[in-house]
Amino acid sequence: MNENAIVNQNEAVRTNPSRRHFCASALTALGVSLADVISPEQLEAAPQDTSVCTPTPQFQPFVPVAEFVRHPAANPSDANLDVNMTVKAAWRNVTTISGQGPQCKRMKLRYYEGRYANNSALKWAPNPALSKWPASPDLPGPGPTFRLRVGDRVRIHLSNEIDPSDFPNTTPDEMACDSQTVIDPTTGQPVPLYPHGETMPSCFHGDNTTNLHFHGTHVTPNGHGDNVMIDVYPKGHVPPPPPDEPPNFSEYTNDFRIPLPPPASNPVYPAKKMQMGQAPGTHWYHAHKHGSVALQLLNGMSGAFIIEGEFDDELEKLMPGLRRTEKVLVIQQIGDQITIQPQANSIQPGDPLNTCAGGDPRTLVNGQLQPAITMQPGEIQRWRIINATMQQVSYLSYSFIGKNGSGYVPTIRQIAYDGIQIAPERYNDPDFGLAQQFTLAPANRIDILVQAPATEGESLLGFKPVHNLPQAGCKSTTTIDPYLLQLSVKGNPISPAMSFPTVQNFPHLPAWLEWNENDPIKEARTLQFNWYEYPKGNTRPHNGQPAIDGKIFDGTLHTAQVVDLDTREEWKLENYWNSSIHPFHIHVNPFQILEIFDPNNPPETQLTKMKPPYVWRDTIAIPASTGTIAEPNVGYVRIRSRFVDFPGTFVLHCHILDHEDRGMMQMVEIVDPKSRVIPRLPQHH
Amino acid sequence: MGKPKKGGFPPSQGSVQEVHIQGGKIEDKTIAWGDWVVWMNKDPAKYTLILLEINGKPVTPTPPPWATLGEVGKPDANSSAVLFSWPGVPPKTPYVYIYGMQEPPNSQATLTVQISTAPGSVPPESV
Repeated sequence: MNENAIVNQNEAVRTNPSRRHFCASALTALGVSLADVISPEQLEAAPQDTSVCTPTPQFQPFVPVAEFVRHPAANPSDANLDVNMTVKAAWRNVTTISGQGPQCKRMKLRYYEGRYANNSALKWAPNPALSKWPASPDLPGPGPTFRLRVGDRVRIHLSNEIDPSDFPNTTPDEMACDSQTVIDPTTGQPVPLYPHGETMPSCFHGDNTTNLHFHGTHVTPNGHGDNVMIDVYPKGHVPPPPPDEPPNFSEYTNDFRIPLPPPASNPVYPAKKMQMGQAPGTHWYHAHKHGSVALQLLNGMSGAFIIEGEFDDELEKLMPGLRRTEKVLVIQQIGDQITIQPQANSIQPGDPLNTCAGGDPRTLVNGQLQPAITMQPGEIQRWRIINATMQQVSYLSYSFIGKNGSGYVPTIRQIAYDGIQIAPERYNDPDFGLAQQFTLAPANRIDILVQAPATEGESLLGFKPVHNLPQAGCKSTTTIDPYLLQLSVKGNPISPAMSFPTVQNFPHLPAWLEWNENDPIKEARTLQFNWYEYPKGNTRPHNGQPAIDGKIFDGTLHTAQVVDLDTREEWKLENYWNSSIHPFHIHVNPFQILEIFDPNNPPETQLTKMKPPYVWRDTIAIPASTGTIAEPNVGYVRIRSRFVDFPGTFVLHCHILDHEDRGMMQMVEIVDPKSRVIPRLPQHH
Repeated sequence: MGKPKKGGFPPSQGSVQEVHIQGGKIEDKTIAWGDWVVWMNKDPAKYTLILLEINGKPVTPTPPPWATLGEVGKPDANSSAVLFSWPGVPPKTPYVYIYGMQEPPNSQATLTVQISTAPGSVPPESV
């Protein structure tokens, strides 16, 4: 057999000198060594299966995701948006990095299909008569975009129509840990790989059970609000749901009102005034069933949840037409199975398990690979960017680079982080508004204004790892084409001319986003992101199972933070892993970043003390530690938050979602001290 | 086809490959290193799948079964996900595994694992 034999390969070889030149120049421009990547020649030689996957020409026009848009309610109590979301499964063609370069793979994936409850048309630009999204079930990509306004009532009816038999790789028992075996390739010996000692509920499981989380919303976590304690089972669920489950266990309706800013009444407790309000901004929704969050996001079960408000009105006044040209960019990496990555193909009890999306999935925008956004010279557009990925190789720093080595780049101004506007002082800050690069960990969002240069040209939005390639989780095998999209600037200069807001006229922070420094901090807590049973000896115990404070999530008060309502707290978040960041996310209440310590930086830049007014976030990457597991120099972040408006139960967790599924999560119980009762946590998934 | 880079190719992003067993016959399959295989039994019979040869050489002693499958319709009619992964950079030459049923009808099949999957090996049907 030929040394380079590929069985049944398609011998057609496509050559494209310009593309080859482009790949090399793009890599060079990013300072990426070719030593660890596939050469452009090999990239060109990748087998293409035209019968299954249409070769994707580069720089296809950017296609927006269809939007469900609010409407005025005839009656104040009516919903402003009423949508039916169905979870389905379909075969989809996914562009992957294969052994020889880009290749299409056929994957069976779960996805959201959305329709207005009254089945009216979506008015989606390429097909205004379309009444459901996605337009075709075989298109990979996010679910529909929701566009609402503060004060709106939204009702989303979720129906789980997954047939578990469509996924033979998942265990038929939704209440049992998934299992995987690896074959030693040289001996053929099967070696049990998973669950490797991990147990319910913190193991991969329930792959076909789902629910919805509205990431970035400040609404009640109880009842039909942003409640991730809900399990929406597939039909034919095994074993049958418990007797206390409602008969329609494969359906659920999220129905809540997005609060108006203070001093409006609390929509859940009308006698009370809101203290915090909902930040109008770029938020998102995704599946949040503990045990299958990583897999379902890897399948693509996420989408944009845009909430508009006064901030948007003011920007529109400053830059008329900004809403009309706005772009919503949902970044995803698609796959059909979580990879358990053993150190070798023999695994012993106690060996650490790395988990990841597997290989190096391509980074897609709205399901498209490297699309092109077109602007006029001098035009300003608002781009809402959502990192809807689930693994740490997508912790990336983004910046524009001139195409073909040119210096042709647009100017960007950051205006919001995690869907929360920044203060004018930060808009005028070289580390935020003025920075020409930005960093997104999984779950982060950023809003930027992009101004095209005054002349025609092309630029690429490139990305690179924040530090070196991560050690844990997925081992990134390639860095082919490390850019997200192309900006094409052509046509006549925009008229009338557009200009960025100034520091003077940039929208001011509303009073409810300001922090009253006289408010007492009730409690200071430290949360350690480490391993189960750590510290115990000098090694990672129990398979290196991700944990907080040495405890894996068990759905009880054993792994919960209990906080009094209407209090302020300061937390220190420590990362003991020297091989991975941990993006900390807490539901319902955003927080301010006070300080970041990254021991991976040179000593003079390890500690960053933020300047007031502090930037609000809902997800922050806790830097990896340095040193050894026994003697770590931990990375940490100091935050402060106000636990106001909504008592109830929700969660905090690492947003590398395989870490979350395996136990790096805690319950948060907000208790009203005026009606204090012993917290009674629901049984969580 | 382009000349492979010295040192071989990096592993691919894996995906799940279904191997159907029907009428006592096991489907031949070509997969990539990093892919998972799920054997799906469509027959009203139990099967145990054992490895027989690797690259033309008999395997002795026979390793434990790759999968034990219950009858169609039973919860164990499908195997768990079985990963074919090469530690480090996989070889340029495909690995060919011949395996079969431990009991009658003793069918055999070929599972080829290589650096890249072949066109046409993907399932054509839609859900």
